[in-house]
Amino acid sequence: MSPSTDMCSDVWLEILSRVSLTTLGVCRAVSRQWNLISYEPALMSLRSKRTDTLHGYMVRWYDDVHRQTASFVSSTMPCGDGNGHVNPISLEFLRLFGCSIDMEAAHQGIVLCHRDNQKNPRVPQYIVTKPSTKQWVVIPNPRTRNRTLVIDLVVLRSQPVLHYKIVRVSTPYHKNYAPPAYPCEVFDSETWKWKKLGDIKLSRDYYMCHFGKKVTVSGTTCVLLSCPDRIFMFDLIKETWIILSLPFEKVDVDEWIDLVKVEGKLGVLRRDSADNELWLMKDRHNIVWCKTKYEATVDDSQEVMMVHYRRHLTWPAAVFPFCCDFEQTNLGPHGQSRAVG
Amino acid sequence: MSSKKKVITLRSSDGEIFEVEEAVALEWLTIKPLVESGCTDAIPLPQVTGNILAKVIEYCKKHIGASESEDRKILYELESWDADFIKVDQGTLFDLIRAADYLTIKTLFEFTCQTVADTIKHKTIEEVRHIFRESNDFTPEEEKEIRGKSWWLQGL
Repeated sequence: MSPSTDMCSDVWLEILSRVSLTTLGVCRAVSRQWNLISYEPALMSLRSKRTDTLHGYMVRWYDDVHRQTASFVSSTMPCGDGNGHVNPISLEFLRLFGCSIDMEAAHQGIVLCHRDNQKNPRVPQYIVTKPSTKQWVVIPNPRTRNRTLVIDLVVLRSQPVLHYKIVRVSTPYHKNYAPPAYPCEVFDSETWKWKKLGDIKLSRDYYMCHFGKKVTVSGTTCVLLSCPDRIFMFDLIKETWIILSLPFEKVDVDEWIDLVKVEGKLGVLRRDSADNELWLMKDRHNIVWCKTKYEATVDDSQEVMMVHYRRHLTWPAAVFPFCCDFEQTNLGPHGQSRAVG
Repeated sequence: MSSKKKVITLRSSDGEIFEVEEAVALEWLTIKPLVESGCTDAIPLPQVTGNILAKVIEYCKKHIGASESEDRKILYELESWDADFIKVDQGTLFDLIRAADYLTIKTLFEFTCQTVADTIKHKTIEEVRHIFRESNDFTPEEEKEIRGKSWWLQGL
């Protein structure tokens, strides 16, 4: 028998375009070649045609009456709903709550929403939903009443039982000129409880705000802090956090820094009037960065924003990578969740 | 034009000679231009062995005309014929994929790739590596990182 490794990448592309999302995840860990192929943009468009999966972005934006809205933009057919198809993914079914629903995070087809609490605005309420199957579940309210600064949901396992965690960092306490302490808590779908972690004590120089760019990589939530630029990384698996400095010295105030996710790795994009450069984190454990040339094709979220702008004439507030299937998933504790017909 | 069906001669890598109807050979996009130009010599196929070429011809003969049929019975019969046809060992299956890719036979290529995709359903990383004889060329750090990741498919 001849070895199978001499098969060209076209064949692998064809095979990987026909497997389920879970199998694709397994294949990604097989070898370097497979890992690379699994990130090919061509694969996503083939997959959308052949399997019942959607690949794209959830876009959060404000409509003309300043109501927060979320809609889906496919990365494989950006002009998808131009030919009369109803956009299959939206959060409109959550309007049954009769109040404003804000999308806070999305991962692996699961979306975390914040619901306005009309009785007591100080108590935040959260809903976890799978928009493709219109399933949703209300999770317990977090214990800290401070305003939310950073919140993110990460799916740790999708098979056989969904397991996800949510991290929430809220506005700091200021006590006697001590460094600000940001309360931090984690929700685990297995225990169905919020757990308070120790406060995050940052030096007074760093500043965490609600609008910092957020990227989720390998179960780690990464947020750009401003003045001076640092990256806050919260590992939801270990429930630990670190603050990293940028891989380069920021020299010019005109420079524009952005966090991006490229081929499953964290990237820092540095732009000034003349040049673009991309720093990719090659090794997350030993913090090794490498500088590569930035090409517009590596990050299609920019294009998604343009598509959104042309469609609604307003810029999105945030975009979240989003891929999903249409299988029913149990979102709640002990496999409970509700679906809207 | 003569009413007798035109026959194309093919030569496999191990020198075996095969004859197929022109209509069958026209489905193979790689050699289509040669067939259309009226080539009468045996067409050499240096990348396909005789036993694989025989399988490919068997598949294409069965499928020509039948795939477009709207008769449920014919389609059902074809489906069960396909299921028997593809009961081959892994080596043969990969050889068929390579042959279909090389000869650009769309139907056979898609069918064999789907078969492989179905075989790796519900398999572990090690099992998939074993099936494809892919060696693990990650460093231990990369392996650790990617293994964790594979469950939540970062980057999609």
